[in-house]
Amino acid sequence: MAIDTKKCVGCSDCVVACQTENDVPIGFCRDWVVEVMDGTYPQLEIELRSERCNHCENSPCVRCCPTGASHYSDGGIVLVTKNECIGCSACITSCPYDARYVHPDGYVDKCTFCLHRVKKGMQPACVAVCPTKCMYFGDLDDPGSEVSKVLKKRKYKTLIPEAGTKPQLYFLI
Amino acid sequence: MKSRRQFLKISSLSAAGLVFGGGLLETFADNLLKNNQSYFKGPYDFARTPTYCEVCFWKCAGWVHKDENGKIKKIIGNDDDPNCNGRFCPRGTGGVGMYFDKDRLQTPLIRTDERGKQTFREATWDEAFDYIASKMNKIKEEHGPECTALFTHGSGGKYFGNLLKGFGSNNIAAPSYAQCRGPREVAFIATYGQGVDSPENTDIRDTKCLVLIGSHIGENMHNGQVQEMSDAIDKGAVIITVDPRFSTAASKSKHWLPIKPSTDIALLLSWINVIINEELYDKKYVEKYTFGFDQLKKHVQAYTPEWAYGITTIKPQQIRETAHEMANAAPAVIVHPGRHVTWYGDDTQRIRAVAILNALLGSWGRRGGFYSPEKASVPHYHLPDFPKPNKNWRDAMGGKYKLADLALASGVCQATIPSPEMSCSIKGWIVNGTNLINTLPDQKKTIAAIQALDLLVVVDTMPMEITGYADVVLPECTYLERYDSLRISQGRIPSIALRMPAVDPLYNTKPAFWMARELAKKLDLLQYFPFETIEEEIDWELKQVGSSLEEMQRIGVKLLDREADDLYFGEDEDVEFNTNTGKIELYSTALEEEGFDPFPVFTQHPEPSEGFYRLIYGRAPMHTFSRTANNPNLTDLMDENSVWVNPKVAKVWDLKNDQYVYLENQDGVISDFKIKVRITERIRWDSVYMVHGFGHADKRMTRAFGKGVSDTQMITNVMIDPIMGGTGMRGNFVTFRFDNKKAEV
Repeated sequence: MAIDTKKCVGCSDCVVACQTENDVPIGFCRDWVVEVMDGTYPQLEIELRSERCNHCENSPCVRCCPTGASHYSDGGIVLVTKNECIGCSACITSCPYDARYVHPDGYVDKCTFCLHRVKKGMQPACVAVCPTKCMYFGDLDDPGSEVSKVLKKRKYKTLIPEAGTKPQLYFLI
Repeated sequence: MKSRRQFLKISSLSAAGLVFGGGLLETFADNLLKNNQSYFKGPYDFARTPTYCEVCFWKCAGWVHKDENGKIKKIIGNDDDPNCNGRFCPRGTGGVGMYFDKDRLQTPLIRTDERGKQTFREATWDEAFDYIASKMNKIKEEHGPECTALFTHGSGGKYFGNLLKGFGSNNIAAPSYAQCRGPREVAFIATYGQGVDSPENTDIRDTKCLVLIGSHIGENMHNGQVQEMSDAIDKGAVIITVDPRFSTAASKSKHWLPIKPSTDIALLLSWINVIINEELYDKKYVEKYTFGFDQLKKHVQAYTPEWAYGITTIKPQQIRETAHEMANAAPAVIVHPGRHVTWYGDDTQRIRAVAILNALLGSWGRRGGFYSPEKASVPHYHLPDFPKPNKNWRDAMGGKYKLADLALASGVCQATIPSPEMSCSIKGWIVNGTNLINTLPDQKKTIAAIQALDLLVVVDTMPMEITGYADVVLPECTYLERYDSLRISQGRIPSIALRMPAVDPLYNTKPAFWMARELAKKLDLLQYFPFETIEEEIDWELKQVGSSLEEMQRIGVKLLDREADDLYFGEDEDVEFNTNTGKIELYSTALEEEGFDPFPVFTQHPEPSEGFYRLIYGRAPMHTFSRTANNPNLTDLMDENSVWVNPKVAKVWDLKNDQYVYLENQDGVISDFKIKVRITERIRWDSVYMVHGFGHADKRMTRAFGKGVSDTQMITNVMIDPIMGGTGMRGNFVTFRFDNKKAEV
């Protein structure tokens, strides 16, 4: 997934859409918005970005999971199998992006890239709802996909690359 | 904004055993993968019902989806709707919270103690209507039917409007006019013979240069405009933002002009000066379509960028550079008229300057400027003639504000306060879907008017402050539980949209149509409600335009054909404007006739005294006015406002981030509640900023009560626009207090 920080207005629509699509209880979230401001008045800059699980290629959460509940699924999407999760929270501690939370029902929950929608050929709920169309989702291995094309065209960065997790969320800058 | 930090705080609580969401769907991708069995009926398998959103005035059309238990799950935009293009904003997406909010009004209430004390007894609908009808008839007998008024900001307004007109009054006002966009409409009508209306006819998606003056698109979540601004960014449009605050839009702009508040007219006049004197204007367009160019040229000679610099603090070089940016993009340039424009009382003149600037750049009627919108024409069933009122709120205005093309909510309020000079003192109010206490400035005055009433009926879904003053509260079901009149929108393509109930009303709540009709029975006005049900009326209307209720239930939105061929003026096309001269009036004859300046003039406005800061307020993308402050889904994103303070100011007052303070304004009004300090470079040192709509004082709103400060409470100085009666609200100054004790006198 690629997220265009030049277009994001930080409205949090992605957060509510995810909550209603995935029945994330109020008080919790699988995605969230970060605002970073630099400078002094009137020389200022703001970066706005919608963040979520980075679906890392080298995921510490998968590696540290004692039960195998955290695993890689189709296309490298990182998932948690709810009924194999014992809620030990080791994955939460290991995640440099703080992308996971303990669901009130006792298991760890996180972004699934809305795999249930993607399998039907739909976009993840956050991508589909975004009023600024700032998110691009698709197969990075397919050079023809929208996300591959936009990454070829634009400058981008990943978050905390030094953690070595090979994150798969790209922020267009 | 929802941040991870906030989530961490909450999730540590969850260890203590919070349990959420019993009946919710439980399994997703895991199950899909493991069992290859869908627990989750995909959206297209859901029974979906069409609606249009009631969380704000943009009225995006969408689909309500339910889960297999028939419980409302989510609301998704309708792909065919030009207002939203299938994408709802956070408020629309979170609209489900209006339905699930446990603090909703549940049953009719009749007041038992004095007004404002929020003491009620439950009543039956019949009792409530009897009470209202007897009071209305008494007012009619003693003072005349004209002494009743309707305030409305919601879809049910049409039916209460018909009721009131049938009763014999035309005092029907929406605070969206005199408290919001009124000056803009008057200014554009004076210039082009046509307002910009809603959704605005700005052609943002194709613009090459978008100029925002205090308009913070992106924080105000006017869906179509936000979407188009994003398209324009994609296509490399230049954005110029004029704002004392580094808004989200400013952060997307090539040029941010951090103007000194209240000096916008000076900047606009200097832009006009540069564009005329450097001959950057569209000569052919100006010659063919406009009236009064030579006088305008003369008028602006003194208003050089150097002159404006001393007033606005914007450097002359930057004024010239941005003027050139606009001219380079012309005619694909929009100097945006804004929406909430009631700032300093000279707002009609300020927006006139905006309209003039657009005319010089030739952007009205041009691609990337302003397109010619069309509204679907849907015939309404012919009702018997309404009785002609002998008087109305205007009689209380002494002949002022003649150019106001709609009723002034503040004018009706004014006309309610008894005074010896007035011939019309209004005695009864019906208030539908608008929390006047937080909507009209100068709360003291609003409350004085309310206390002078013989009858106050409030129709709402939530126990807003205004319900605390009501004699009778009529609980409306939410938009997800009712039919309403069709949405008939203007746009590039005229469209209509249907709202129908996704579920039955919860509690003892009812739709506005039903309430108005039942009241009509009691008042013997049933002739104005020829249809027994709203479905029949909608179906009749739809059949006049070749559709039907049955079709609209399936498609939700229908696009109709345009009558005019083109969105833009043709090459050298002759255009007649609906003004006195038939031209675009740079020189306004209409204003002159009423004794006002035919051109905008800069006036100096009062500045904060030492230790005080100008109060600037605005919007957050996840909230609408004060209407959403208790919505469980939206308070989860933002549950209080904060006061933005420049670090220099924070140092003077020794303020810390996240510290709570009270505010006191220039008239000694101290805020009821505390507000969190946000120290940020994003605001000038002479101003503070807060998001409107917080600081609710009604305890029945359990999530919103006491959260943040109500800017409305701090707005006691109202600068009235002499042209149309708009209520300028940016002339208030606040200081910080660490307690809320009244000072010893």
